[in-house]
Amino acid sequence: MPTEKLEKLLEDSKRAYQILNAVKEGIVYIDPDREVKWVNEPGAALAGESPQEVIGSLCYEAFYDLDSPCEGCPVTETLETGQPAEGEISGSDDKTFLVSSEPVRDEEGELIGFIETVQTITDQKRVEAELAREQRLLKTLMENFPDAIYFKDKESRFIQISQAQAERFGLDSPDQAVGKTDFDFFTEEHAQPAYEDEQEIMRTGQPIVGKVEKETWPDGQETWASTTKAPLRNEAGEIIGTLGITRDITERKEMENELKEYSERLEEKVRERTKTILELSTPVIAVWEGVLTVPILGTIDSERAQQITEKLLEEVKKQEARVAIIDVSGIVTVDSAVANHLIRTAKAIRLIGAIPLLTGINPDIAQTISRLGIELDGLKTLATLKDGIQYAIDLMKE
Amino acid sequence: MSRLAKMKLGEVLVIPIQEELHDTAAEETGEEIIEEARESGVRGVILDISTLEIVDSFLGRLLGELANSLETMGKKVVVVGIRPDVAITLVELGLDLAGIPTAMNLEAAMREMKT
Repeated sequence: MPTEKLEKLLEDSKRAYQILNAVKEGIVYIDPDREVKWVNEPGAALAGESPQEVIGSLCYEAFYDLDSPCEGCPVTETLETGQPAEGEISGSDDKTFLVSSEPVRDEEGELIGFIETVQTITDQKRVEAELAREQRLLKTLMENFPDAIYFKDKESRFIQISQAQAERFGLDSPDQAVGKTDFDFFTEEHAQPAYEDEQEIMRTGQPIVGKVEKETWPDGQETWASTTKAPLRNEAGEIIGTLGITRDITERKEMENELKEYSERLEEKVRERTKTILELSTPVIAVWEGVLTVPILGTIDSERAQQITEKLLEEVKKQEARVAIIDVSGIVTVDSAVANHLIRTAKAIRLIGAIPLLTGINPDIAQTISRLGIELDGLKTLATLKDGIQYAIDLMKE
Repeated sequence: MSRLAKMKLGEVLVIPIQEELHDTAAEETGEEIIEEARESGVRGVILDISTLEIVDSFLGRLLGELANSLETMGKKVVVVGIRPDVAITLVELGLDLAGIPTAMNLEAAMREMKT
């Protein structure tokens, strides 16, 4: 071979190596037994070595530290089919390689080796996978979550809404809401405060959590919702809108209202019953012509005291009684309020023209009355009910 | 002109006090009653308030003052016909007409007059 031609060949070969070392992919030439015959620099770098160190080793040993060909190696496929193949191989350190294999044949067409092109796809692949995963999660959320989810821009126009929200709005598809606002779906009664809330969130950056709202619809329907809204930010962290989740709590609210009504009815019933019991527990007895007695039993509060007063006065008036005996011997405790009530009742009896007698005052009650400095104003008191009745009868005989 | 529907029963003057009496009218009526009692020379005065359904602190106080004035004049006074709810109101207002005899009806009031 002439020197000139040889030099030209060497020059070409050198350039070819330069080119092969300049590419980012690893290029490996292996024989049918997968022994590395040649590797470019990026390829050897994948094994963390120089090309000279890699050449002569088996490819799965050099690159993956394995005893047998890698799972998913495209060379295995090319060996079987004789066709170029592509496959992904997971290496150590979470790295994934996209490997393509190309068969190399001699002039007779005999398979003499393979060219493997190895591309590290770690970062790109991971980002793509994560993005896909996030999109899938978001899609699942937006399509299946029973609460209404929505994203709005700075003017509170919908950017995206969930399937549940679309259904609440009576839309065939969530896309139909894009560019619209609450004012297109609700009456102003709800749309205005919701808009103001969103403006406030964007102004302050503070979310609104679990706000109970009454939603008013154009057809006159009213629903209740629990809404949580937060600012929507771009990558730079600037607020570019809001996002929210709304849960329909109409049913719960209706149940609450029913429960409230029910408990109110119950309370009303209890009040009625209590009144009946109070009346029953305040028997006004005519012990003599013109003499009425009311024995007060148990405990007494202002409500009962008032009730006793009213009942007794009414009976005194009705029966034109001249004497009304209030017997307190059955009373459990007397505090200042009770004592005051008793005195007032007696005074009212006197005003309507009957004579009040207070009987059954035990030492405790006497002490309470005197300690309180309650002026009895000539109110007649007697130790026992018997004394009281006797006194009344004597009065009547006069 | 006297607006009082007064009635003289022997030595007793019965004066019904009407519900519509308020403030100045009531005061004038009070003076009129005192004048009447003085002129008629009766022994006692029965103030019948059975038509009073509502009483306020003004009227309650006036009633007490009127009774006290009459007593000071040496007339025996009996207040008659206080309704139960009026009685409760008066007591709550602290105007329980202490010391002034009361009666349920005219008959009882006449009886009270004799004591």
